[in-house]
Amino acid sequence: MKTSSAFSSKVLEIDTEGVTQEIEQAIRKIVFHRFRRWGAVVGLSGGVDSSVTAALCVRALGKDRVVGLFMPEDESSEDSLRLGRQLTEALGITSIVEDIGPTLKALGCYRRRDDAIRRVIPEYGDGWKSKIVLPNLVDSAAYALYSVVAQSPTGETRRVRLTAESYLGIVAATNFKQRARKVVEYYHADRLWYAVAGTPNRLEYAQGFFVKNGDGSADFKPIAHLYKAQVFQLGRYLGVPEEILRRRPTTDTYSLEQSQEEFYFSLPLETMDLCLYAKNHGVGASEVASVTGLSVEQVQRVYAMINSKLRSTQYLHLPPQLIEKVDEVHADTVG
Amino acid sequence: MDRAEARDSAQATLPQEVMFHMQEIAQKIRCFVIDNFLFGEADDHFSNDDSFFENGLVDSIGILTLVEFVRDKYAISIEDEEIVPDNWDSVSRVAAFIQTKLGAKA
Repeated sequence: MKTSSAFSSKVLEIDTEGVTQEIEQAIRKIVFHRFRRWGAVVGLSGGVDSSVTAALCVRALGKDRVVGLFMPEDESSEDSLRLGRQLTEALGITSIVEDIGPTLKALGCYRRRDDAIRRVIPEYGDGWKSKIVLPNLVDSAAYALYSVVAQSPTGETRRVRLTAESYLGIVAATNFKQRARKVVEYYHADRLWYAVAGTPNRLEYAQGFFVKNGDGSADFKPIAHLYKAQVFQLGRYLGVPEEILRRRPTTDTYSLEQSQEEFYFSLPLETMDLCLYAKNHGVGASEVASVTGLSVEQVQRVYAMINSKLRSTQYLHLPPQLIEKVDEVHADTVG
Repeated sequence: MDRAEARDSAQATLPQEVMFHMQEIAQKIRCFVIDNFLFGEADDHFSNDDSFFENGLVDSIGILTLVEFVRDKYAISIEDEEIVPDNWDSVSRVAAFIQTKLGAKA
């Protein structure tokens, strides 16, 4: 583990030009030379991560070799499509809208999710909205037990702790959204002989904030090594529209608006970024506390939470496990 | 005195028949943990005082499952604020928590 001598919020500052060039070269090498594909498909959410990923692909491969996909569904925010269009216009790339709502309905995504919610809120039904949220894991020792927050058509809100069965049912049904999008991305990648770009930043990648074989699936992930603050810096450097840079990161997965903080990270992403960096570089809790404004105990809980997520999300990162190594395949794909 | 100390102190003064009952509860919890989280493969080193969390035995889904097992088995209601590591992070802690809840119910 590396040790930091002077920890401050400036540790996340990067040489945007240098980093951009490095990623551009890597994308060209991966897509053209290793994959021998002709371009890249990027699913666009109207957020900064997918915008920066698309902008980097354009610089690396050329605007005629990048396709942006908008994949709204019945519960998507209208902002996602509007902001996504601002980006594709700015980049000058082809964009395609694929409404995945009917596919999700056919798969029973909404019905199965609502059935799972009704296990804890029997009256939940048409016209209701919902999201799932975590308790505050930073201020006191607590388990990461999710609750559902449901809003009735008349605006009354209820918060109920989920049972294991209802929690797993909601997540399993909701994961159809990320997986359906990936199916569409690979359809276009296959027909164009392109590769699929994944869009996670380091917080998401390291902390397992993705759906296995959903948004976690991709042929390459060009910003997975970058902290969120660094993605914003690249966004500014690459000319990502200001409104996208100012938008608060949301999951855009549940019908009630849900921040990534309440769904997964428990802290503002700026603070989580610094804590993850500090932990990765062996910075002590007291030093992190003085920079972030958290107490030493809070930083220790955040460190424990990071470790816990690293451990519990290992499964998401693992490829299919073989009983024996298949040498002839492995020799061709590594390197 | 924090909650854990209060619980330990309360246990130290429990009469013998209650202690016996507690061992029975601990044994049931231990069996549940071994069956569900250790897949029946517990070795002799697994102690009733081992932290579930520090040993990576139980994640949040596991805790939920354990909470639901305890709730149904002992017919006790468990409030959100009671689902904290002080009460649920080892076989002994869970047994003591159940004992306290059953005592309060009696």
